[in-house]
Amino acid sequence: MIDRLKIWIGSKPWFWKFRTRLGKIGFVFERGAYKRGTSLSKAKTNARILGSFTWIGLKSLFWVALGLATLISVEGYLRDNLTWLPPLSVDDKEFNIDQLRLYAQLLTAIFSIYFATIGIILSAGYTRLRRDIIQMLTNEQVGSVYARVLVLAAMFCLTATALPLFGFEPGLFVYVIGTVLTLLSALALFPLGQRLFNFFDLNLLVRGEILPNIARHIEGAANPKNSISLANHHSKSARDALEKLLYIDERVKGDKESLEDNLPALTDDYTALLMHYLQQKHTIDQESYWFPRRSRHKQWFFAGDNATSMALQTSSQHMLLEEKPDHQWLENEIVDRLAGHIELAFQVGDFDLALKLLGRFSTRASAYAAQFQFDVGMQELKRFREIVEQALATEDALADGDSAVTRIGIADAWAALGSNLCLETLRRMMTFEKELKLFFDADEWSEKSLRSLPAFLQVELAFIVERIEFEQQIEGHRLSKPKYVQQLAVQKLLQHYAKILPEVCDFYQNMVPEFAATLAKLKMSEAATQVVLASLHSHWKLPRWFDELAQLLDRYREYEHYTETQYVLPNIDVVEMSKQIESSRDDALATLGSGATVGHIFEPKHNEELPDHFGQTYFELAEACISAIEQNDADKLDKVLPMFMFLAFLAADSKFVDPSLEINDEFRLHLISTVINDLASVLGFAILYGAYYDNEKLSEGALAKFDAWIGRATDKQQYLKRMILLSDPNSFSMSASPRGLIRINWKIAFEQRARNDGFGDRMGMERGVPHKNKTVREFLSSFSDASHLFFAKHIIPQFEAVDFEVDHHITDLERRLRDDEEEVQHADY
Amino acid sequence: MRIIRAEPLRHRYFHDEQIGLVDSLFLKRKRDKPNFNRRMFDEDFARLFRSVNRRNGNLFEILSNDDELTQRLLGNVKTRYAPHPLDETIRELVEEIAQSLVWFGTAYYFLHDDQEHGDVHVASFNSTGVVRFFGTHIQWLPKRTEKRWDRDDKEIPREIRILDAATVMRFEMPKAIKRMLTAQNRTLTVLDKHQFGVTDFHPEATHENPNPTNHFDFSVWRDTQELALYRSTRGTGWNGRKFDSSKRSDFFDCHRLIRFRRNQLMLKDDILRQLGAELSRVGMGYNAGYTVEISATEELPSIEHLDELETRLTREEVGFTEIIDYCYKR
Repeated sequence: MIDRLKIWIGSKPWFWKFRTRLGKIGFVFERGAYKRGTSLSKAKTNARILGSFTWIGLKSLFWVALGLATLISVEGYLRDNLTWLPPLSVDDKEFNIDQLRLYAQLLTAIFSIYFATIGIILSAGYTRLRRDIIQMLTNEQVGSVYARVLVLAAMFCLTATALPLFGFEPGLFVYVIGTVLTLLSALALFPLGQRLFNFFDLNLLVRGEILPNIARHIEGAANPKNSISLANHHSKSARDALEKLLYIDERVKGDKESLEDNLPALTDDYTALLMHYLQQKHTIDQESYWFPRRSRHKQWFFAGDNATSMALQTSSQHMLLEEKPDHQWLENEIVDRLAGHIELAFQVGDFDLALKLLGRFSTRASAYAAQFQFDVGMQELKRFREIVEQALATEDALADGDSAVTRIGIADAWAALGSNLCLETLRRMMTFEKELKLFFDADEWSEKSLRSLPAFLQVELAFIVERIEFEQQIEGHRLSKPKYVQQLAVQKLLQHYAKILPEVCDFYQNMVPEFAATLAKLKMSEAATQVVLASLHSHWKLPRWFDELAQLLDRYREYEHYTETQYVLPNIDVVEMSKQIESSRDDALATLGSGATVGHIFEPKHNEELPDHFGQTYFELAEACISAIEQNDADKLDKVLPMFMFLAFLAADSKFVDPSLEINDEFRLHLISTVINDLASVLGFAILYGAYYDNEKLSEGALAKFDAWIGRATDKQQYLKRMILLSDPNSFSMSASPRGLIRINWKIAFEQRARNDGFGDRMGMERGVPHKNKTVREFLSSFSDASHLFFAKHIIPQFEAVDFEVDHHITDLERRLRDDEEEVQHADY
Repeated sequence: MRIIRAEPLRHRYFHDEQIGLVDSLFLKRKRDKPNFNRRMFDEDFARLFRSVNRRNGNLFEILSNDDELTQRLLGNVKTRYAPHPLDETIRELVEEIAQSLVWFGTAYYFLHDDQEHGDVHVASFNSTGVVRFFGTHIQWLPKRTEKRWDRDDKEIPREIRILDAATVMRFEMPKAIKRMLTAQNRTLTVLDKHQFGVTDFHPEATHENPNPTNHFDFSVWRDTQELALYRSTRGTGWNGRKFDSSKRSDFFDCHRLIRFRRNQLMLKDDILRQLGAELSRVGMGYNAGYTVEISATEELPSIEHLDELETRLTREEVGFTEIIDYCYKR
């Protein structure tokens, strides 16, 4: 019945007219309330300022009064007890007071002239600014309250002097109030003068006026109680204020001298605005006009029967026009501005400033991660990368040392910030599970309860709430059951993850290596190496995180209850991603093996301001060699071994031998010895694992490279002899090698493997099967290291006669291996 | 005016009838042409059987003590399409009855003895002007012109035909469904009436006032219409042939679909029951102790299963596809 009545009423034009009128009346009330609210808040701020101002006045008045009282009492005391001070006559008193008045007038006049002069000088600056900004500057609250006090005091005193004209006698009270007001205005002169000095400091204006303004309007637009008109008013005002901010931004950027101070401040302002916005954004109605509309045209065949028939009836295209709110506009705008700042810093050639600005991203990164705004962060990063690459390409690469360090810092900062964003986002994914669980447990679907979720989910899940409310409206109770809506929610969430995770992978797999490659191309090998080396840590960390993520996704999969295709949860192959990350780690190590990237580490000088690239590359490559050998992967070994060998020889032959290196001789020998042992161990393990896996290629390639290198030495025999002698730390020192831990780990890993595969060794308690290869067998049964094996098997046979003392491990092993060969030969006979 | 005892007039041409004052007492005013929503609902609701299950021929179970007579009665039913096996005939008969019930509220059939072939035909006739007085049916025929192609038109005076109760079969809409439909149709009619009302609200631009103010708010108007449609169809469960609303969840759709099919099944079962009863009654003219009962077999969906599906749906133990399949494919 009511429905029929409603339809009938809806068909009458007077109803719509009436409705409009009602809306207008409601709007008048709302506008009144809004205006009252605004003036109330303004009055509050003014009152607060006045209050603090009065407090200061009272305090100083107290001190003045105290001072006056002391002076008077001292004078009175002196006059009473001493005779040399004659009492003042009435004329004298009058003269004194006149004199004091003159002082006060003089002071005030001086003050006025002083400030007037400054004002005139500064007013020249007015003309260069836009009208509304000037208005804002002059209307600025602090100034206006002080100025109002001045004007009030002057008016009061003038009127009081004019009173006798009308036949009134100003009494004592008027005199007292006039004095107080004059005192207050004297006090107001000081803050006013202060204001004059930083009158044109637009940053202050941004912070004091525009940002609070925008924040207030964001809240106004987000308030669900406000009508559409009022919310629109807030949106429009916010956009105006933002436009002012952008104008100030342009002004500040135009002033090239003070960029150093102004740009970081502005960046901070933008960041603060963005953070505030990201926290508030999801409370804004998704359909609000806060989000500008982008129009979209629906297709006739997909628009639905009603819309199509209606459109056909009226032959109108507007039925099929759909306006979609752009939910990212403010973020995009701000990101654009922030990137503009960095670009400008590069343009003026201030790399330190650019680095500083880039570093501000880290605060934003966590905010992005918390709200799952990964795409905004990634968009920013991509933009930064373009800017950095462009800037580094155009700049003269041969700059002085300081600037070079800054450049490396910039490149490093970019990579670090990127991986920071990725890791934070992954962490947020883990932590969000609990929040979602709580939300599901409550099983309460309304616009209000949805507010506790991140903004993107609110947008995505709004339709569920709409449906449930519709069901309640039509059927009287909720029909959609928990499992169904939970599956829908999880589906949306996973769809979002499915977009994020490949991008995370892409960052490590493509963006960082490409960035490093670009840097290497620009002949900035330090920066390239730094980026690669810094990313290794993330590579080490990520597979574990991805494992956890896989478990998380499995847990989410339990929400899959309905098997219809439109509800199927998206499939995210985390294992595959994890594999990709691991393979990209290998690629990163391979780039370390190329000369173009790591060219600079051959220079002998170490720059303390940078991380030690030589050492890290050396050790990373050593590990990479061993892992390639352990995996029986000759190709991988080929990629990393030459550079490692090169670094090892460099260290042994020149870096540690260099007398300018200030270390004591024993340690120097130890260092050389450990490098030789590392190299020998790597080659020894190549032989050993080659024998173990029965894969001759593994050792052949490695040994061939070694031989080729040795072949270049002037006296080969002498060189090899030096190697053997230095490899034995016992020969020159009582202490063990200070860098031996890493090699022990390699050996333990080998023994572990042998034991797991069922081959016995000297340490094993149970007896295993003897390995079929002699070399492995002998090695396992001896106490030798892999380096000993290398020397015994490869070096010693190259000497005709050993005329010097060799470590008995080597000789012993050499003899056994030779005996075996002879035995074999005997057996052949 | 003639009062005769005769068979009912089967085909009537309303545009040839001249309706006087007296006639309008007996003939209900011609019902308004059902519009849009009404029309769509009538079509959807009268479609008791889905075309998919036309193939196999054991939809109905016939229990009677004289199979030959049953065959004779039902074998020559004049339905819209060509002669069929018995099963098909019943299906079409039920569907036809349902259509008439949905449109007119009652349906009339009579037995036509074909003396030449010795057959019995069951044929429908229009329910307009048919009145029942103490068990006798009267067909009221106003003055009409009979058009003949070879001769001049012939004026036929007003007639009252008293029908033979033993040969007339009358079917009625079950009370519960009737009540539901009237309630719904009242709103649907209003809806249909104001369906294209939107266009009235755009004031015309004149030379003096090129931009007239428009107070009309389309979204409010549309919401009211939509709400009214869904509220009114709550009992029947009709979906309004709307497939473009994002507001409806699958639960909503499935619950409604189940309700809609349930109502249809109730109607079908009731028609089958009435059909059995009426056939038994008219069959007594041929065989005194004749009874026949027609019921749906397992091939057709059943109310019990739908109820079970609904409870399982609320417990989330059944998928949407299963429900939709059961409702549409059987």
